[in-house]
Amino acid sequence: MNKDRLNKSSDGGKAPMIRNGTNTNNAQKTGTRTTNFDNLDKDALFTKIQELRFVKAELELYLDTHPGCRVALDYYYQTIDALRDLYERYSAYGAPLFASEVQGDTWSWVDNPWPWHRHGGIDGRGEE
Amino acid sequence: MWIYEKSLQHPVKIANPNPRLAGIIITALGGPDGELGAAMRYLNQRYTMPDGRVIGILTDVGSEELGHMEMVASIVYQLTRNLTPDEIRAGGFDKYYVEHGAAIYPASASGVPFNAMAIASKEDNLASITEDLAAEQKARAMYDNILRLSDDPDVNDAIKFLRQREIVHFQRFGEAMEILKDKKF
Repeated sequence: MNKDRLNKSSDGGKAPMIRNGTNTNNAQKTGTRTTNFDNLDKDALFTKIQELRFVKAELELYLDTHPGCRVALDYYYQTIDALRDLYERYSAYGAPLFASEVQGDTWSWVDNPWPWHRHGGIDGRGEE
Repeated sequence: MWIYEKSLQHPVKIANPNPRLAGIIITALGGPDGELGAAMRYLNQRYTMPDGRVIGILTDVGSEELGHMEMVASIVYQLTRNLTPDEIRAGGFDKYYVEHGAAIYPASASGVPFNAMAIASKEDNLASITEDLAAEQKARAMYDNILRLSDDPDVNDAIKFLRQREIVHFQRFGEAMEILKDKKF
């Protein structure tokens, strides 16, 4: 599914990310909000994941103390829909963010780099 | 980063409160061989490890230990519900209670607050993994002692699960040691 997934031209039906955000001007300026993720390469996908999972974390904190806020809840549902899509696309690159996303014949979970490695490997610490 | 799953790794369902047992089992959270120290030991040792497989086992065991903290805390929580002052005194739980009530606080059974001196983290990775092997054995021995002191089958079910995990972790760390030796790190 991986290669096909990456080359797919569009999945038009996907819910747009954050339709009613409060900061749309800024979003248009910076281009950080899109309606689909088809044109993102691996690095851009990861950046988008970082953005959206931070949105998710913020919404979770807010909803913990405002569990009755329907606006925030809808925003949350949109966010996790988009995140699910992003995680699926990212997993196709063979560098799973979750152990349960490992695909293929080897346990790539243990492949370098780990998040604290700067250069895609173990920095000068004897990695073969 | 971490994701929280709203469930215990193994169920904790304790029918009868028992403040004396709670005051003993708290050491499995915050004592020298407790789960808090275990999680901190492995998760902090990961960074300078030279092999992805060893980083992987430290990450995954360390994460599991966070879940064990929650299991131990759940045991203590359930053992200390609805206590009267007389029961607290009779069960020797008064010294803990006066400082924390029935809230969960990471300390040893003898009342020493959690102390990071009970863990080690060395850039000499063979030293760190040897520490981990010993830590799993010490925790297993602690759970053996709890089982000797407890006659509550509900408590023992959860403690036996935790004890068994120490054995599995010991085995995996043994393999991590072999990986490091094979690669002559």
